Amino acid sequence: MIRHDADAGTVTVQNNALRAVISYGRGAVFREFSNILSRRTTNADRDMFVLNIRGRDLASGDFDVTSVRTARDEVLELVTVYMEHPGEDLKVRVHLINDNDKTITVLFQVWDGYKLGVPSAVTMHIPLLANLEAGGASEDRYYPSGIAPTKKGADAMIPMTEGFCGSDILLPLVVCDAEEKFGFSVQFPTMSDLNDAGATQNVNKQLASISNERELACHRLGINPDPSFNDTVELRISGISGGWAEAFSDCRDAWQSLYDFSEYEREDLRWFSRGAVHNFVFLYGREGFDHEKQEIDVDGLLAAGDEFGGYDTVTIWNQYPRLGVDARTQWDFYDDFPGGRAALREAVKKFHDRGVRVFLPYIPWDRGGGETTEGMGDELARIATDTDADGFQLDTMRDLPYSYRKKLDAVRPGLVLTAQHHPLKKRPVEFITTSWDEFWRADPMPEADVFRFMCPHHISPAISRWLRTEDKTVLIRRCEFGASPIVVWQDIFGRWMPYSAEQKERIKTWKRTYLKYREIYQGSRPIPLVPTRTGGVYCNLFTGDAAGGRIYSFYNDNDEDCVVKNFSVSGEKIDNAKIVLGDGEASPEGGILTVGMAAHEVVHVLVTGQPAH
Amino acid sequence: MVEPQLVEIGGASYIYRCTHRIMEGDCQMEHGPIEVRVGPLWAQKYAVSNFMYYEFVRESGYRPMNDRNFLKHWESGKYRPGEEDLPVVNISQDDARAYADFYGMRLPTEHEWQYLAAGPGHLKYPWGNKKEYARCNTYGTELHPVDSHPDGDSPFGLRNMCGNVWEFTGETMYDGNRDHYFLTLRGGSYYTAPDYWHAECGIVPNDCHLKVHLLGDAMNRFGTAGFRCVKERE
Repeated sequence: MIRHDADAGTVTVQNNALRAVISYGRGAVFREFSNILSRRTTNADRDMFVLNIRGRDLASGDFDVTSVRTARDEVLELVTVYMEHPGEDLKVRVHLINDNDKTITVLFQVWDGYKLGVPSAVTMHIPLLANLEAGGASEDRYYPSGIAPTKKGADAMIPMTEGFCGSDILLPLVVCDAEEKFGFSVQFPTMSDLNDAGATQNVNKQLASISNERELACHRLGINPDPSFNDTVELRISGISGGWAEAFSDCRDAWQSLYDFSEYEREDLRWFSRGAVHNFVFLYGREGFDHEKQEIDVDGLLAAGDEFGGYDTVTIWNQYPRLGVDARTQWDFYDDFPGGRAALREAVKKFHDRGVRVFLPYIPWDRGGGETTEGMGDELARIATDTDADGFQLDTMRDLPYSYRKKLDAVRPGLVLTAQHHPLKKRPVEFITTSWDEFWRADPMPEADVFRFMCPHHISPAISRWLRTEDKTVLIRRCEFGASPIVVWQDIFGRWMPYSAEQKERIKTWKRTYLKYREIYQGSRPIPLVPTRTGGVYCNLFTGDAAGGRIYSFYNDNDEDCVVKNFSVSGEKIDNAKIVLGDGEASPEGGILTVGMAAHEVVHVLVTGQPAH
Repeated sequence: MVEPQLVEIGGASYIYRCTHRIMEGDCQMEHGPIEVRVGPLWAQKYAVSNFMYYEFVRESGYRPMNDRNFLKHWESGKYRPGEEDLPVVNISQDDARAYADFYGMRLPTEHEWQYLAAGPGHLKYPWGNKKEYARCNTYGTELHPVDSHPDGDSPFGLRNMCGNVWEFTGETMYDGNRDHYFLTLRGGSYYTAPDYWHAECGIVPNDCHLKVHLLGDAMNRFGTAGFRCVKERE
């Protein structure tokens, strides 16, 4: 609904959840921006923006409003406020786009006439954002890069970034009341992958990097206007009634809506998601090779795997760091390996006979003289044909030419691609259906891998290489906490870094649990880092797509045992609660959960009852 | 045709220290610093050439059990015309040992090789302490004869100890833990693989070695690795 009172100089935009009132005359301000479901009037009298150019702060109230226009179609309503500042040769359009459901998109478009003949530096501050209030006695705030701060001051949510470029997974700013119900979710949509603000018009990436209250309150976005109206900042503001869980879920829906995930529906590729413990074997050691017989030791490797609950896949590695001493390529190594491709094929058959799938490496950087991109894809397909392997581990990669996927499909169905790193870009995310969740920190807890929750059908076993004994326990906890499979890698290119008997037993237990509740852990709508109201305790929520309950994964990062009391995600009623992993106690009293757990332990609680949203 | 030639090396002690070159995985062996005793020895002035190895094969009838990649650059059992003085390659450490044994010699140890290349003055490169590309065959496209680059001789007059071909040393390392067998290569070669992740080549200082994991004879024969021998001197 739009109500424009020209005499009073106000425009009201309202939908099922939000009400925004703009007051204009000389300049324009937000008279209010409220979540009407909360019955609170909030965010009163905020300048729409403050630009700084050539040393001057220019608030929206300092601009001349030249027109206010409204429009509507079958779906949307639009209010556009045109403003000018002739003295600085600046124009601004502020659009409010109402979806008539629960979202109002506030879109800023800044036009700069280059008063000095060349572009001057311009920054933008948005008071509505800087001090967004949900109302209520106290509030929960989730910053886009600071969802759940750890004791060390880091964010427990691990983002998707890689230097200059990033992914399009940007988390929202969420402000809601302490009951985790009413408030606002602000998403920052952008189609640009670049982290470099200078190369983009839409600077939402900067907003998505805000990690704390101070950064939010003091934000000054470097913007790049030119003499055209283009998107500068876009705030997709939703009125929520289910706190962080609803906001994250909305964000995931918005992100996924731009993707084609049909590759993940392929039945022939699904075998990978039925695994829990994977092995990476450096073939130059005894772990997987019998030097006396000069052959792959299938029985020995799998016997060792039994101590971990059994390997579901093995990745046979016979390449790096040997490549490069001479001009032989990875393809030559497949031939020069003892027994050549025939021996590999025989070993693969033995693994298959034991119900274990086999990955082989693909080394993109090992391009021999004269090799072409397409030629390497052909070689890859030939390896698949010659060895009967089940898939390829894409060394160092986040991406792969799509033609390789088609070449492998032409060999036979069921060949799985798993990248060493999460794919960052849209197309690779769509067709590389698995990747490692590899990390390098020695202290990776508490952590939640954002991609695991945004794209839960992309299965990512966790792996780390140099962790020593204590750290390996933390690696296992990380798998448990994030409900992810694990890659057991003990021979790190010639250095033997084994797991202890206790750790093997723990992985075995985790595998049993993971597979028993796989439908829940692999559900399509997990929520990371739901608030626990208990300092140092973190929680992820996994919900099966079919009935069968949901599992809360708690991690106690405190040095003492603790109890999480009165725990619930907004709106849920818990009938039954049972510990399915870890040492703890759980009881559902009055539909609300109480969970006790030991220091630095992960506890999974299976609950049934009326879920939240 | 370059004939084998031995150089007299006096006995000496020196403080051995070596750095390994491998991208990841480390190198589980003694790198010093440690005082070691070398010699007295006879050392081959030149790396073993195709001609020299051909003579060995002809005289000994040597043929490895697994001959995949063995002398694969030869044609019809012999080196190609014009390549007689190029260093022999596509031989494994065992193939090199067989040559040495046949002539009553052996491969130099890690300590010995480094001393032969660096001399008592701990030179960084055989010719001195500065990287001088013109004194060796590096960043090139093909092997050079074993008697090429006289400007690059080591203090003992040994030729081409840097560049041209990597050289095997005598040890086969076994880490005793998880059955990793590996050897080390010395001196670098003419060849440079294209990517950062490939094994480093080019000019390699005297006190560095490249760790190479072993995995079967075919894998262990390189188109860029040869050898020279030493023998005890009374």
